[in-house]
Amino acid sequence: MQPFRYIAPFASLAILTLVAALPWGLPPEDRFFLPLLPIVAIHYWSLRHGSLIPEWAVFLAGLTLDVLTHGPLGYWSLIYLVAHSLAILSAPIASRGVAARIGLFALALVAVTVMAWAVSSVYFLEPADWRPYAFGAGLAGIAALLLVPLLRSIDVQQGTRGNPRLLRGG
Amino acid sequence: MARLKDHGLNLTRRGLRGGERGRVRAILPVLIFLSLGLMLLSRLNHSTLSDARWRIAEWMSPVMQAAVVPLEPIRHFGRQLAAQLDMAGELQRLKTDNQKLNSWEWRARELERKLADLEALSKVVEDSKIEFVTGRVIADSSGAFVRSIMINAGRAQNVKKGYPVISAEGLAGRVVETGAASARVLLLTDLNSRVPVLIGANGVRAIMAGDNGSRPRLTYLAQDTPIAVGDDVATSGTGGLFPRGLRIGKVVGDPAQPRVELRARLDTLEYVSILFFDDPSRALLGDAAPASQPDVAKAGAPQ
Repeated sequence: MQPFRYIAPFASLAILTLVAALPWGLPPEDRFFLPLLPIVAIHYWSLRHGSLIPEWAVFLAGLTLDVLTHGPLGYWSLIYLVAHSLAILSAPIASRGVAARIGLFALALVAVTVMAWAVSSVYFLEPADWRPYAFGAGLAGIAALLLVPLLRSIDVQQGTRGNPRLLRGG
Repeated sequence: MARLKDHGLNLTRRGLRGGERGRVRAILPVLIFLSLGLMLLSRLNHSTLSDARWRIAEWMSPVMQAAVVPLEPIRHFGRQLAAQLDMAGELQRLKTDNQKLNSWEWRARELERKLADLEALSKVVEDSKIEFVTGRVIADSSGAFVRSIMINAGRAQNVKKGYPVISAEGLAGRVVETGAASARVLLLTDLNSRVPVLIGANGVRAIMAGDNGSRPRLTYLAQDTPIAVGDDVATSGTGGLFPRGLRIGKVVGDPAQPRVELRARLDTLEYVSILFFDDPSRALLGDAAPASQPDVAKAGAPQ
């Protein structure tokens, strides 16, 4: 199980990055939630086990998506790194419980979406239409409800978190 | 155990240690700076960066091709579901279309016969048939920046830069980058797409310009141009990038700022055909170049 501990974060991030670039047959304005899917994985792993998902992996995931979707290089790398740092910085609060983790994810999603909109507006030197971003964030939030249980199921360390035997002595 | 914890050797908890929680590592600002630098170079459209990007995308195309295979049943299910939900409306639409097409079929046969007679009388040179190859869409753009797709046909299938790309319904875009076994197609809706078009029965000329929206704009229209909503839009062939007469769509929206409702459903493209169409004027330039300057002739000829 030990190697799987390290593989799971990388594999989930790589799969969600590929999923974001696949042709799903959706209209362009409904496709904005796809690049936000890897953020669910980044936030999940960075919040719980920050050392398992290094910054360079987050950077490479974003860069891969930029290459595959032919967007400006560095755009999704930047957004994903911001999502990663938000999760790392809010990790101490996450230990307060499930409600705190849900709240932190919602806040991170909003922050990242606003940043994605702001960066694309600066890139085009005119304000981008905010509606596809808002709709995309909403869809990503719904998708997270499905993805987080999946990520929990492959999270090897999850089972040990509440084990009193391992925590005894504190 | 308490002593172990005091010495920072808490072996009972995995993952981040207490001190690491909430701490950002030094590499993070470096990577953020690198991302910003790459974005700036992308904005400046640096050629080295474009080449490197395309090489990486090409290298990843086998992965994408493999990833598309399990996607197919999901897309099929989605289509079936949408069709089932819209069955009644679709039936009514098909009945109306059928009635219209019956009357058009008779008219088309008449026109075809007349055209054949006129061509025979005036000894018109027949258009040469354009060869094509069909490829599968393996990656799609998402986000606000570009409207392009990646297909699994490239130089190995004789696909070249500039070739028009069509779907079953009409023109979809053109090839802008080619790899050994993959190519990137710039869709008609992309911000950088410009297509010379003919509008309606009067053959009004204009440029169809993409703006990353679903309906491209019609630009360079003369004032008081006789175009109406519903007029057909097709390629004009001007500039030699596209052959004349490829169906594009219909005029919609405000006649003062007309847009084009595309026939090709660019968001649901699965397979596209790449037309092997080389600019005839370039071939002429190649023929006309002086024999003493073979390099110039080569440069003028289609690559």
